[in-house]
Amino acid sequence: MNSLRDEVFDRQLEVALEELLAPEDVPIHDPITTNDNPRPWHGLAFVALAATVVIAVALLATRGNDAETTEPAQSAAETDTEGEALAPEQDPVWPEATLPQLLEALDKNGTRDRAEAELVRRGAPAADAVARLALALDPETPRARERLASQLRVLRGLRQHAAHHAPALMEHVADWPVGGCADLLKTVAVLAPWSPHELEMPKFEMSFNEVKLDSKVMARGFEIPELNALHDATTMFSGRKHVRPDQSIPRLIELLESENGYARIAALEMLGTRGADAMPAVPAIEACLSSEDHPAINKAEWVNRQSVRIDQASSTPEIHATAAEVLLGLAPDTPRAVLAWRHRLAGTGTIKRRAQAATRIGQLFLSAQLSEEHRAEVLEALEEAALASDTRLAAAAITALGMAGKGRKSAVATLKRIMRGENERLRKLADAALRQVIR
Amino acid sequence: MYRYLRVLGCDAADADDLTQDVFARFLRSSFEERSPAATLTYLRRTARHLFLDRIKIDRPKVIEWADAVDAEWRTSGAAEDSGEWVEALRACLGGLTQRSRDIVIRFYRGGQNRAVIARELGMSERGVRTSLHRARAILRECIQRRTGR
Repeated sequence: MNSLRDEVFDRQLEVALEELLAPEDVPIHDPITTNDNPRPWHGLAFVALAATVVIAVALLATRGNDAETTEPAQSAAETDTEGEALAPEQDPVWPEATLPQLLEALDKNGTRDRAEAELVRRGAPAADAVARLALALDPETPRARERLASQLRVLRGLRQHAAHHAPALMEHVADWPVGGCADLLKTVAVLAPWSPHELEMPKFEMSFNEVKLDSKVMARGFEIPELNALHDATTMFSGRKHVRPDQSIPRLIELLESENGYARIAALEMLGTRGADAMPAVPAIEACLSSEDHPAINKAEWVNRQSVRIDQASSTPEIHATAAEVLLGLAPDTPRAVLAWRHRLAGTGTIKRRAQAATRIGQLFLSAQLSEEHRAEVLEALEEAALASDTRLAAAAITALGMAGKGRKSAVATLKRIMRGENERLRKLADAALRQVIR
Repeated sequence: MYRYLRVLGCDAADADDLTQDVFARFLRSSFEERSPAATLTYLRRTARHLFLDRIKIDRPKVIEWADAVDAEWRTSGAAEDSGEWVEALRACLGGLTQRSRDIVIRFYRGGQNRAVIARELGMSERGVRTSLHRARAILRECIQRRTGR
């Protein structure tokens, strides 16, 4: 019996490690085929496999269109991606790919998104390899700008792992025309808080006709959006550089109330990389997530040959999104984390991530003590997800709605609409949820 | 609930589905809440029932496994349910050497098999196996100490 207990402990360890370490953006893969982990029941490998097959067959028979569904992986954990989504049939088992294979895949349209996501997952070794590529890239080579953009997306996704390359990237700025220069500066700005070196922004003089870097004219022929991006990168850098790697948790908490929106975002990200040490910051992060009162961010818009207009863009959505992910990393089970789960539910992550978020909302909602406004926000997100075309997401949201939506008229309407649908499983779930909502 | 089902033997997708089914049953039932612990026990029993209901082959051995999981949950369940167990694991990972942590992360995080890890780290497959075995033993001891089991 002791050895069986050991096996159970090993299995607990295995599951918890997967939960703790697995980046949830990664498409689900079956550990039986991609990993030589032992199956849970001691000495029952064959039985376990046979039982799993039976379960899979039974589920396929009952789930209808509820087959495994994942959206294309987010590219390098960022939203400013330009790559093409990978067709499902081209989906290899990317964790198996070696670093050189991933770097090669980074250069191809069909595989770029997945390679970016996988490289971000690899951490420091990937950072060094990708930075070497970016620094060696000749701006005159074909598709140089596109390749640089992809490499820099990976470096931005790698954050602290790539930060020691920030000074070299900054020196590389002068080698590129305005578009690449803006992308490099944006990357340096993102990495700056973790950089062990103080970074100084080079002096730019911008006009519609030319851009000077430290009084030297840069290559002409740039587009207006590139000029705007260069301006915005310098603004972002000046905000984010207030956050430094050696700052204490109390100081980072103070920075969450900075007058600069970029500093708030960088402070949140830094807290997110401090692990358990950052737990005292949880209330301040929750406050960030609840507040609508975040400072505006300056965005440049060149309007004619002579003048640039500075628009005041709200930093609130980005701060909320960052605070949500940081909070879920630090304290996913606290009742106030409901708002963070709502962000994940309404976000652009995989179906798996979003369905998990719906389930967690259902579990935490009643104890969350939300304001009326926040209650409505969360329930609206659940109602929207309950109508999703993916059965898994819809099922999770319907179940959560049953637990959270008591007495809410729009929830009743949503559930009744689902009960008129064609999916039998969802109809049954909606029926059960409706009984709770109107009880 | 999800973690319990995963430990029982469900893969991630099945654990997701069964978790929903458990809560759907809960919603339909006339359960009266007495205490959080009683509710969790009720939910776990429902989950176990639904899990075993799907096992058609060699049920006695799977039931033996489920009994062992339940016995473990009775001793460490509170730590599991509160997330304390995972938090202990998070802290204990910091106690591993950089090399061991790297191997553990590659193995569990990316689903890399031992052959790939060995190739990328310039080790033998047996070396990776040994390192994983040692790392698990260290983590086990550390978690037991932290959760007071």
